[in-house]
Amino acid sequence: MKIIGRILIILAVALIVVGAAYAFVQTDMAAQLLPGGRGGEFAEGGFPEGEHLDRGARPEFQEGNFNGQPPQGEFMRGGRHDGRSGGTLGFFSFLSMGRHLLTIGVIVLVVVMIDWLSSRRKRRVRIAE
Amino acid sequence: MQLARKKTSRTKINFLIDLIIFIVFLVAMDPRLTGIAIHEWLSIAFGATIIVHLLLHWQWLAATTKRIFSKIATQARLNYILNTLFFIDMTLIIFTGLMISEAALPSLGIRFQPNFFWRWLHSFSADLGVYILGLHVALHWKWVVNAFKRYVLRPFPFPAIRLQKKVQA
Repeated sequence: MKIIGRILIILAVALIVVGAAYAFVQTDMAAQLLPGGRGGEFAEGGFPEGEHLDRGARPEFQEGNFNGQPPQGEFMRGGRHDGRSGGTLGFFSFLSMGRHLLTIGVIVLVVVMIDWLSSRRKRRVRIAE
Repeated sequence: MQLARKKTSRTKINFLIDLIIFIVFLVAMDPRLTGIAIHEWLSIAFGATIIVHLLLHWQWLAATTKRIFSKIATQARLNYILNTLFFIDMTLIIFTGLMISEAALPSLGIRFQPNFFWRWLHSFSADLGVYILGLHVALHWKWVVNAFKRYVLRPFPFPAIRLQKKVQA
């Protein structure tokens, strides 16, 4: 019973976040936030024919550039949500995963270094006192 | 003795759940790796695992929430703020993912109007999630290292230690 109550609390907080996001979409500010400041029919409805995303968005989403050319390089296999055929266990997918892992690793390294340096400084001050 | 064993198994469960969440997050971050259907179902399961993670840390969550506006350690406050941001971000990732679902919800007969903003927000919050996850892991790095040593590098205690524990019990 206690666990169900806790789950309901978590879901209620999540619902508040979702509600806020949903309310935000209804405002003009949401449209201005989009890359290139597009909104209007894009925010409310679908995409214009032959155009899926604006510049600045994740390239994995793009299914082609604005000249109608297929995506190049890493994203040649198709859009981010183009895995309908069942996924492509290719080198680039692992490269992308490695990139995320590297980003996390760098952040951890920086924070741990800062923590280590500050604790060393504190220890020195304590010894000096 | 029983209490100590209980505490250890709790840490083990926490470590296992956290490890699963971490791996699933990395895999779900790249739908091309799995395909869109697995990406969506995996992300839904990921949401459920986050609830389990929060339930396992409920005592800390409740205690810190009560004391957040009073005097608490800077690290605990920082942790709380970061975790709140992380929760909001994860909720947005999952919610926007459901709103632009191409496989999971349509298979249940639910379809939403395509919305450019949800797509953008899904992408933005997912990218942001990588950085917040990095900070989250960094703030718990000591625990991660200790748990990794305990359960991955040395999962079984040496026979001598086991014998010593038996004698103590």
